[in-house]
Amino acid sequence: MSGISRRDVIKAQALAAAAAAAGVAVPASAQNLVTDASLTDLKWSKAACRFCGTGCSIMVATKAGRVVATHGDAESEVNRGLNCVKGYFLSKIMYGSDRLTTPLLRKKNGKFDKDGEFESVSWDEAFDVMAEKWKATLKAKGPKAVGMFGSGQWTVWEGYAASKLMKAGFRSNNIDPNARHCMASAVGGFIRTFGIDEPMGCYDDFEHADAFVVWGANMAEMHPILWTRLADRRLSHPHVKVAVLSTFENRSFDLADIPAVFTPQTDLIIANYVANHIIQSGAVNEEFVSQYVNFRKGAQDIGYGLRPDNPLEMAAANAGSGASEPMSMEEFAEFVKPYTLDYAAEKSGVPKERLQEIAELYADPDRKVMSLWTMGVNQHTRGVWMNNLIYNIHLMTGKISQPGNSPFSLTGQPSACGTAREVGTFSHRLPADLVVKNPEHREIAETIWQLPTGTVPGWVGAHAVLQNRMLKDGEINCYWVQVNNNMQAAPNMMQEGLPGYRNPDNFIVVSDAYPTVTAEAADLVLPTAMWVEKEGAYGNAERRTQFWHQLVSPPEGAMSDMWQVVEFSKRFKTEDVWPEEILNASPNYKGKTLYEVLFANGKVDAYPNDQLSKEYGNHEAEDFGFYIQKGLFEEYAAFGRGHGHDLADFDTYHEVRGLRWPVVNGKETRWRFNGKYDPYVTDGADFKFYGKPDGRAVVFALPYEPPAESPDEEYPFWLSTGRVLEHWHSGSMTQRVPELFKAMPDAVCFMHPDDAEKLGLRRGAGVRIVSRRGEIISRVETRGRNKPPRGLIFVPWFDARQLINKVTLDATDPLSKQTDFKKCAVRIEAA
Amino acid sequence: MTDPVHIASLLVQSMPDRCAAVEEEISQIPKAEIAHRDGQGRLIVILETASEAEIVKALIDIQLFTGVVSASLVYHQMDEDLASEAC
Repeated sequence: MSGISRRDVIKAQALAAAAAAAGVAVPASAQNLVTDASLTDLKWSKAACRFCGTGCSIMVATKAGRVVATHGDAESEVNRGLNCVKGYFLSKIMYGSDRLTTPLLRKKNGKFDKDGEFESVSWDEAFDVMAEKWKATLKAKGPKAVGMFGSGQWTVWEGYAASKLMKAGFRSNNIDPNARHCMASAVGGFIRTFGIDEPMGCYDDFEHADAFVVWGANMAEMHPILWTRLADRRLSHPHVKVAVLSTFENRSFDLADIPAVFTPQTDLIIANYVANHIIQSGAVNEEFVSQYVNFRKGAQDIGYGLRPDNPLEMAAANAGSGASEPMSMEEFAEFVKPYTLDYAAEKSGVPKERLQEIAELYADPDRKVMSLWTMGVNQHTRGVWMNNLIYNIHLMTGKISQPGNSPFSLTGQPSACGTAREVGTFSHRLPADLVVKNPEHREIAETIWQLPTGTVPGWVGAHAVLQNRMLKDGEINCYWVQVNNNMQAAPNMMQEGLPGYRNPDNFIVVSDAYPTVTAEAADLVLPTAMWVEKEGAYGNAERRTQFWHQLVSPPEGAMSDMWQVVEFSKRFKTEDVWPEEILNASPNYKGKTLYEVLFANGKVDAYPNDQLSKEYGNHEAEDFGFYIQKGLFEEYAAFGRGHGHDLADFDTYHEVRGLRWPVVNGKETRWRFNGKYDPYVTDGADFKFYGKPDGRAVVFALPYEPPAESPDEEYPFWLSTGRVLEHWHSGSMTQRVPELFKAMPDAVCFMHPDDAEKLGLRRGAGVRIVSRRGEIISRVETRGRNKPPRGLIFVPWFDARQLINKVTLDATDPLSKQTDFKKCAVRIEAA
Repeated sequence: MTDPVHIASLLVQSMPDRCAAVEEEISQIPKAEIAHRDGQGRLIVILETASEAEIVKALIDIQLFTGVVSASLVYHQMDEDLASEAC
């Protein structure tokens, strides 16, 4: 008798694992304990988390063909063994009771009918109907009448295959990802200021910064693992300060040394005040600015991305203009001069001392500052401007591209960077920051893709919000949605979303694992393999590309998005989709299928299946007869290698816990634009912003402009929407995990207790939230995690039974086309 | 065989000046034990529950306690034969 029970052993293991994750010294490696197969009888493999843009690495246990457990990967540099509650339940997202396993087509009397009920059909019938619709539309109206809406949750090769099919196959740039709702303003900011997308710094900055300024984000709930790293730094180094700015008090305020609740839209004023303070207090880093910075004045009065006949658009002097002209540092100083402390405090409602403390964090030359932001800044009718203004502050102080000095754009989705942005699935982009408008860029794409000159069209396709408008107006008639729930996610659902899907002229296809709100609005639903049911790759917010193997087989009948796209391409011949002049000039493409031209093209099919790992399945490779993921990845990687976007070779990523691009000579890059770390900074320079031809980043003079809609007598409240800890996005996965559903089953309307009292509403009372566009019924919550100021309510959007996007406004940033989900006007009534 | 038991460990980061209050709140959770404290606000909490749902409830409750900066689940194992001796 040893006197030690199994309970003691398991508890010791649990403690050791937590101690290892906390960095507390333990004798045994937690990783060995947890993954010891003899203890658990499980097979453990790595995978990137399916949820947010943090990009945690997860150890996934499989047993008898099912995922049975997950835990944080102790070998991961990102999450170091930790896992948030959503990540913990990854094993359950694939096993919802209503998982789709057969294509469903709306039918009446045995054939497709838009008004019919969903009936099970074979994949063949599904693709036959789909191909017939696509061919008829392409013939009648051309490539501009077909469209696709994808996702920052597509794996790298799914997004690449879809983009190639649309842009090269169907010759239509009407493809956009839901990252348009999420990161488009961040992209606009990067391209405008630096000429190249994605953060220059990385997560290592968390351990180097002396101050963190969180602009309009709630990291404690939305990026909990990164928040843990930030909190570790703050609490183990007493000199470190944390400022949190938001339009309402959230969970991140607990750690804030400098909390600041500001009036919506006045972040523009606060950022310009900080710039003014830096100049007035003599804190400009003159040496840095004189060598690495240009100043430009941006066009003003640029509108709100609404329909062109909207009075706000007609009144705007420069609607949609991103133009700018050079200016001097002195002229810039004059421009920001009116943004005084008094003015900023008056407009924002933030006390002067707090604003000054925030400005001082940046102005103090001895303090390294990391700025962090996500949807508060990006989902903003001046989102690109706000990104530009944050970079202004870092550029003027030279606090950039060094460990701990880091303007850091956090990401919402697991591969918004790796797929949506890097692969170029936006309506204006091609891989590796190339754009469709530029003829030289199109030529590069056509060369790598081995396609006739002129195949890739030069017109900018329809973005997310415009796609919905064009569906409603009957201009896009064939539409394919993959890996997202846009009916629930997109703004102004009743006026601009649903009418387009149900327009009798349109045929809507939705690929999903579950019957989402979007799937229910479709004409054809395709059952989809998800996450580790397929081999995949994601790229996170710090430029880290991570791979995983197919760890379990998809349920019988479900196929990956990539398989769907590639299989569909077999149904088209070049004659069906390309004009005669292209085919006459390159007759060797005649008679071929798009599958042969795009995928079995000698490059994508260059890697035989004997290169597959013997340990794991691969349902697509088995079906197509070659290692298609490797072929797609290697062809795609050719776009970026040697051009500042270098990726390592395919096989390496299966071995490592991700690498941050550019990966040059096998070495990842942690701080771009810095000569010490970045091989693309040449000639011994300290810094070079090589995305711009002269190597200089741009400080932009951009003013405050009012939001598209503000509270008034009739609609006296601000409405802000967002997420909660337990649920991810529209809840199509997390609402199917019983434990998460139970923890937060329904959305609620967070409001100030005084507002509730004035309206005669008790906590828990039913309320009607009404805007000029629609209404929903919710329940009042006056306590708990979010504490709005008077005059503002916050409603999360995960709940399909409370579709808050019936209420929101489809105003976008006119430059990035990203919706402002954080500001519109509503009234509250007892329900 | 007995009923299944779930054992989990959580890493909790609290504000150091609120740590005592947080510990007090955690101690009110049935079957939660504070297994380690580092004196800087970090706690390791071991949970033993009858269901996974109780782990989640505890994790989310702790995360929402005033003074808690973050709470992460590190380890979880279900077992059906806890009373037996280790080999």
